[in-house]
Amino acid sequence: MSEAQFISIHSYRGGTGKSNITANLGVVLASRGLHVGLVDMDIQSPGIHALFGFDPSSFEHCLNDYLWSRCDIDDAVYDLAGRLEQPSAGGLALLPSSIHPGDIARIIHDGYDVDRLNNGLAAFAENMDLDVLLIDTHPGLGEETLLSLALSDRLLVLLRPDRQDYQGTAVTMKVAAQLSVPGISLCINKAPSVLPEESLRKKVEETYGYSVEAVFAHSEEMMNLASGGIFVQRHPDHAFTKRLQDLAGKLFQ
Amino acid sequence: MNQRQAARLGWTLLLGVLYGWLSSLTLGLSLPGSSADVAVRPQVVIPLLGGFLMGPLHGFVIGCGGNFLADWLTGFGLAYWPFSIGNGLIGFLPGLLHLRGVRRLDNVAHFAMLLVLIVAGNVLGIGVGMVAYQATGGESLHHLTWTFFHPIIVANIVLGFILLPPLLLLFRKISSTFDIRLGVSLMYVLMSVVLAMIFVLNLINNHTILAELAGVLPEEKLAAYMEAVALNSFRFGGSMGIAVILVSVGMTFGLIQHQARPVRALMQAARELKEGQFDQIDLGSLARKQDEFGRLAQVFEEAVGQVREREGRMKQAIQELRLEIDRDQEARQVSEITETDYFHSLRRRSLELRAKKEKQRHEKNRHKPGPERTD
Repeated sequence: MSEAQFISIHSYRGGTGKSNITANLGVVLASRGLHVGLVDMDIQSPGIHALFGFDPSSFEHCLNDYLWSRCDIDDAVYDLAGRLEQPSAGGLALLPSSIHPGDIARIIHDGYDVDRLNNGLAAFAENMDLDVLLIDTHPGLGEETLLSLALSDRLLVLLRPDRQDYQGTAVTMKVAAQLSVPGISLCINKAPSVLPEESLRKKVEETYGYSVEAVFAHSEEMMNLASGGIFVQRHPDHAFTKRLQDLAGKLFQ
Repeated sequence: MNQRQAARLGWTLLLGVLYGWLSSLTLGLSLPGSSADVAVRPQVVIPLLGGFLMGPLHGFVIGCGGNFLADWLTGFGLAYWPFSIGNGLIGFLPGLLHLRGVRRLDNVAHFAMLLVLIVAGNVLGIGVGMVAYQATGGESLHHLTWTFFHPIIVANIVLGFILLPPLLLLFRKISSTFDIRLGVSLMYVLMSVVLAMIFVLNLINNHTILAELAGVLPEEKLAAYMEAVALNSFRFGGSMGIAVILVSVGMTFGLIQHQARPVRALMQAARELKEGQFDQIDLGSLARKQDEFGRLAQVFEEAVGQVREREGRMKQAIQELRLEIDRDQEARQVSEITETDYFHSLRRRSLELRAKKEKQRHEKNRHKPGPERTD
């Protein structure tokens, strides 16, 4: 029984492609034989389930129900093996959040028991024999995000080369350092294809003082293709897929 | 006198002496089967080349001095001095190209000009020589013109045309551009056709004369008759050949100018693209044409549009990349978060949690020393 690594994938701004990268990274890791859990900690605006083709009403239970003690953690976990286009060597399971506006309003208003969440994630990891738990966080630096960071062994911050993201990302990195997250690193997403990748990477590393694990280029083609399903399975030879595999290799040699 | 001038003077003297010496040797040489007056003087190419390479004065000195030397060597003395002036002019005129800054034939226009100057130099040179010789008491102008002036000019020009290009190539004074290759080849083809026709017509003429007049005229008369016909075939056929060559090479120039227009427009556009002057690129009329150049221009314009757009995006992206972080604001924002009670308790608990995890890991390692998962 090994200890599952908790990896938060975060970005300060919304719309940086966080859920997309989280889901695809999960699939890549699972295809390498790992047991991977995905948890949608973006409780206020959940979305990762859509990438796996889930109809929102198909969840009998979700994270919210567990937090309100309506069910056990295992009842809110969904095996994704049947939803992948190619079978994976490892395993992939999702702990989704409720998309019902009432549920979202309630959790924002009433909050939840942090210990229960903590225990739930630990139980998810334990019961499913997970090697890694990928946490899809809510953008910004709200309480859920801080909690996700506090629970994480690693943090991947997605940065979009865009002025509005620079300052918030700097704050995020500082806050994560204060929470003693052991492994903090950056990924650049939607990098303009006209910029030389190496100079972009160097510039970002110099500015933030953390290493850049991956640079994902922005391309119209990618945007069009990404809309349907899990990209890495549909386009195994695409540059984006290759980059994600490199990233997976760096996370788990 | 600098070294360069000295070298030129040396070359001038050398070429002059060579010209004189060769002229004295070829005195008796004439076109086979023609009147003895049609002298074959391939050395005429020496003043032509000297003039083009070094300028009009050097060309004049080579032609004029060489002819004086030849006359002296052959014992004519100064009797034919006007023709020495004429020979000087033959070298003088190609030198005008040199004077205009043409050091090397780079296009068919230069080549055409050189051909025209060879013709002009011979007409002028031999003409001036003849008029001056007649004025000093020589034979009648009419006789000189038809028996001497016309045939010698044709012979000189034909030999000059044939011999000059290889010599220019030898001295690396002619470029192997497309239009030059076209112009020079055209000249040689036309020259071969003209000379072959003159030769064949001459054979036919002789045959006809013999068939019709053998036995009718005394043999001596017959020979003189045939010689006169051969001379006429050569000088009139040759004159027309020269005219055709000049017109053809001139037309090649015009054709090339016309055909090269789209290429030049594209070259100009490419140059502007290189300089980044996108606004000046205008292939409008060319791009509307339906031929290959038109399509190339269309593709080029599209490429320019894309390069321009990409450059614009790059500039904007670089602008965006000016990664500036307001560190004061950052510190303020960080402390706004980290100084809340929530954050304090979270940090405390996260430290506990991490410590607990670490402890578990240690215990596991101690109790289970077996191989760990390598993931």
